[in-house]
Parts: sequence; C-alpha cells; structure tokens
Amino acid sequence: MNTSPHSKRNTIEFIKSILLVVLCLSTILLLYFFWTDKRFEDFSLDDLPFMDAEEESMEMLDVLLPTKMWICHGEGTYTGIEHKKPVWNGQGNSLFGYFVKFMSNSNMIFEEITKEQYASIMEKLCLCGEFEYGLPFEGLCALAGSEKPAGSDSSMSINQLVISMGSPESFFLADENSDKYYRLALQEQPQGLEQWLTQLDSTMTNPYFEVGTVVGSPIENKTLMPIALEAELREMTCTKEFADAGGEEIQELAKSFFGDSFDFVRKIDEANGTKVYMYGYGEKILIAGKDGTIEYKEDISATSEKAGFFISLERALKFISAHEGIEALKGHVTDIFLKSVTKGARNGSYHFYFGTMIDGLEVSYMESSPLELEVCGQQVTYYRRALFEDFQEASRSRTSEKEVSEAVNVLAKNYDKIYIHLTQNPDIEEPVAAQTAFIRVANSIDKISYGYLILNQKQQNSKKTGKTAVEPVWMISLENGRVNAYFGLYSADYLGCSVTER
Amino acid sequence: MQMKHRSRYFVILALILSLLLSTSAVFAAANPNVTIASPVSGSTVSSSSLLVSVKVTAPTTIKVGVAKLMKTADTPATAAEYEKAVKEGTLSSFTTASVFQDEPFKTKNNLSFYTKKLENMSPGVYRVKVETLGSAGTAVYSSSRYVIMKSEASAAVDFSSTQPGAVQFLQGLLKSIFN
Repeated sequence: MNTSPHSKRNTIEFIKSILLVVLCLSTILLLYFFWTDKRFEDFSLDDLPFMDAEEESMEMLDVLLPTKMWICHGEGTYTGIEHKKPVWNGQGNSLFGYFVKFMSNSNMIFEEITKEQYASIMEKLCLCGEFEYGLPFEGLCALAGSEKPAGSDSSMSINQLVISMGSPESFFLADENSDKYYRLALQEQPQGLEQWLTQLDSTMTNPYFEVGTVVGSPIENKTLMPIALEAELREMTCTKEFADAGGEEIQELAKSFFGDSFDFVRKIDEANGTKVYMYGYGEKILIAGKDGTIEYKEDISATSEKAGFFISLERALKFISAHEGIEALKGHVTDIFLKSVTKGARNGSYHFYFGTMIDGLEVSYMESSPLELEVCGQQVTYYRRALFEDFQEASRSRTSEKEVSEAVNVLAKNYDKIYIHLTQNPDIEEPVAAQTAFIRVANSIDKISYGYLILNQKQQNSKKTGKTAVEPVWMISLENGRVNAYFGLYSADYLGCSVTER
Repeated sequence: MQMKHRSRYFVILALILSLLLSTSAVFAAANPNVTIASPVSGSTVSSSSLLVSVKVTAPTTIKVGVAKLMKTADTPATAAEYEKAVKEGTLSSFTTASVFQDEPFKTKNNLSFYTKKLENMSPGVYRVKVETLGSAGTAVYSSSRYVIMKSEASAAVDFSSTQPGAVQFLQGLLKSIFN
C-alpha cells in the first residue's frame, strides 16, 4: 500500500515536534545542573520549582493554645480548665468555633466597649481563654476564614477571648496590654451557645478562687488557684530523643538540613561526643550534643524581609515538620503548643518557645525549653530541639492511693524557697520577715497549674535505670513566667525552680 | 458582824478566782495566730457558694463551723435586720442554726491554710466561727465573721450606651478607608 506524500509530511512534522520538545526539556535540565552545580545522581524532581512538594505541616490551631482557660460560674467562683484543647478548638462546640461563627455572620457588628462593661460580663457565667502573648487580630480573623471586620484597626492585637451569658449575642475580645476591649455583636445569640455554656458550667466543678480571696488581705492577686483538686496523675519514665543516637541517625537528621550530598559541609566529631556539621564558613551550623540536644543556626540573609506573626509561626511549624517533626517521637503521643513569644535578635523577627504536652497536660523540663525557633522573615535562623519520648508509666507508681496536696498549702510550705529565686539575692543583710516574703510571693503569682516535670540528674534518685523520671507536679509561675517553681503534686515537696531572663 | 464581812469577802474572792481560772469560750479572745481570710468581715456574696479560708501561723488545732443567723427558731434574720443590729449593738439577740461543722484541723507548720467551699447556701446572714482547741480538746480562743449571702445577680449586661450599629458601621467604614 502506498502512503501519500501528505501523510508522510505529517509524520515527519510530528517527529520534529517530539524532538523539539525533548530538546527543550534537555536544555532546561542541563541548565539546572549547570546553575546549581549538582551531580546527576543528586537530581530530584522535588528540587524543581514547579515541583515544589508541599510539606505537611502542623495545624496552627493545634499549637495556638490559650495559656489559661477558665469558666466563671458567676460572682467570684471559677473552675480552671487544664485540658484546654477540646474546649478551645475541639470537635463540636468550642471557644474558637464560636469565634468563627461570629466572624462568618454577615450581620456581625464590631465595636469597642468600656473596661467596666467588660468587667461586668466577666463576672457572669462565662468562658475565657487568655494568651500570654498578643495575637494580631487581622491574622486571627484570617485563621477563622474571615476578613477583619469594618471598624477594627490593622495593628490591633488581642490576648483574651470570652463568651458570656452577660450578653450571649456577643463575643468579647480584650487587649489587656493596651487596656482595650471589644465585642462582636449579633442580632441574636448563636444556636447552642447557652446550652453548651450551661453544660460546661455543670460538668466543670473543681472549685478555683482568686489567690487574694484564699489567702486574704493584703494580697490582692486575681490569679486563680484550685481548692480541693481531684486528679490522678502517674509517675512515669521517658528517654531523651537522640541521647543514644548513633552517627548514622544523626547523619540522617543532618541530611534534612544540608541535603543528601553534604556539598561544602564539614563534619566535626568532638572529643566529648558532640557532632558538628558546618556549611561553608559557618553560614549554617548543626550541633548534635551528646545529651541529645539538637541546635541549628543559620546566618541571617541580607535579603530576608520582615514577616508578620502568623506567617513567621507558619514558617516555624513547617520547619519543625521538615526536620523530624513531632510524630517521629516514640511511644506516647506528644503534642506541642506555643508557650511564649519574644522579639528576635533582628527587628521584625520572632523567637517562638514551644512547650510539650502528654494527655493534654504540660510536661516541663527545668533545664531548658523543649523546642524553640527564631524566624526572621521567611528564614529560620535558630532551631533548638531538646525533646523527650517514650513516656511510660513507672513500675513503682501508686498514685491512686494518694490525695492531691492543696495548692494553697503547697505555697504556705514553700514560699520561702520561691522567695529566694524571686529576689535572686541570697546576700540580704537582714532576714526578711516571713510575712513580707509571703506577701511578695503571693502577689507575684500569675499561674498555678498541674502537670508533669521531667527530673534532671540531681533530682532523680541515685538508682540509674537509664531512663529519666517524670513526676506529677504543681507548677507555680511568677512574674510573667520569669520564675517557675515545681512541687510534688501529692507530697507538696519542693522539686526545683527555674529562672528565665528574656 | 465580823462573820458577815468574812463571808462577803469569801464570795468576792470566789467570784474573782472563778473568772481568772475560767477557760469558758464566753470570755475567749481571738487567737493572734488564726485569721479568717475569707469571707471578708461584713461582706456580701451574691452566690450560693461560700469559700471559708482560715490562715494559721503556728502549730495548732482549729475547728470551723458555719451557722445561719436566726431571728427566731424558725425565721432567719435578714440582711437589713443584721445591719441594724450591728449598729445598735444588739447582735446577741439573734440565735444561730448550725449549717456546717467540720472535724478539727490540725497543723504542725508555721503557716498553713484551712479551706472549705460550701455549696447550695440559701440567702441569709451567716456566722463563720473558728475556735482554737487546747490540749484538752476544748476551745481556748474563738473568732467570728459575718457574711451576707444574696441570690445570684441578674445575668444581662446593658450595652445600649454604646453607639448604634449604623453610626458605628459608618465610622468603621471611614476608618478602613483611611487605614
């Protein structure tokens, strides 16, 4: 059968088109190798810009947890909420969930209210979430899937979110640092709000009162303190992540920072067991301590632009996920939450400090913060990871037989030890009167909660099991978290104190 | 005559001795190491819950009780009647009906607190009494505080003083234009 000249020409043209496409792709590939100076075996499709793999990152609302949450039952009686996640952002009804409902209502009106009006609604049946740090309101609205409401300032930040039966058709916001108070008002209360709040009121019954009410005049501290708490926390053990890590494990970790080929990266094994990876002349450094602490530093790029709070936090969470993440921790599920934020070394940068939780309760470690990052624009310039894993109930744990010691008597028994750390002045000329010291300590308290403390070497008993002991504890925080004191939850014994200068 | 004078002296002496040696709570003073931190004296609580908190600043044993002030055996005293009695100094004309009496609280520390939250208290006037027990288990010191318990206050807070929505909306619109 003879093929016509026309179809033959079409075939040739088709082959030419294929060759052109192949040549174009080859050109792109060769240019890539030329510009990035990579070897063929290092090539990965993920490296190409249009193949930018979306890193799975933690949800921001999973780490943005109020520092304190409480229910006011009305007229001076409260219950503190220790397991905050379900009430803050759980399935079904939650405080943030109602914030989203208010923000998404097209009839919502935003207005500023007086401090007196805010104080009035806080005395009624209400649910409150308070953050230690201010949250930019515009970013918070974006997190709720909405634009900031008309009438609100772009620079506005808030640290308290409240719903109250004093005005159930309103959602209240406060910026205590600036002494500003606001409400989001609807025509009528959202469906289910009153029932949910009433149900919380009836189920959360552990009584809390203000410190000033419990210990009496002249102390006027409004921080909430539990009375007669019931809690069953067990002694546990855990191990430090990377503490016994071999060279291969550390090398795998290092690859996530420097790439698989370690181009221009030097590795230094120090005599004390520390491993150091250094890129170039120190532009990027990774230090893996023998004790399992991982530290990464990166020089700030001159082109690094400022970024807002939420963008920086998102960057931090992506960075954590890209370098081991939290899911890699063995054993019992560990959650992290954003504990505090300070200004970074460079203008416009943020230093994020994360805490860890087991079963919704904070796990503290006096020696250091478990996870911290500094973010400057789109760049993470500092990353420190000192996490624990493999939490298990200790064989000697017999918590069910014990009664929780009263928080006020923990304070009464140990105020003198707290006072020394508060004043940091062991060389006082005259002994301070007991009453003066107690008043100073009681007035400085800004948070009383319970959870777990990972004991350091000095606190543990001499029996070396290779595991680290974890004790249920009372945690008393003073002077905006500058001083944190820990006491046995059942024994009321003083376990230690950490002082942070930030 | 002399016998009459002697017997009179004996009676007076017996009276003085009984007063001096008496450990009756009727004349017991307040223990300087025991302070009622809550409730605040003469305060009003708009709630059905009452926090009793006692600060103890020496090793001791105390006993805490709460009683409702009664005008008669069946009629509780009102807040107005209590306040009038305080002004006139006739508080002793009221009786009390015990609502709570705790077991003795013993402490060996130089600072400790006794705390108790009482629930479901009806409106009325209550006396919180704290007794310090001696080695024989009897009260050697006593102190009291009165507190007025009222029904919980109404819920709604008035926001009508804030500007109407339309004006606020226009203000907000102008602000957002110039932001």
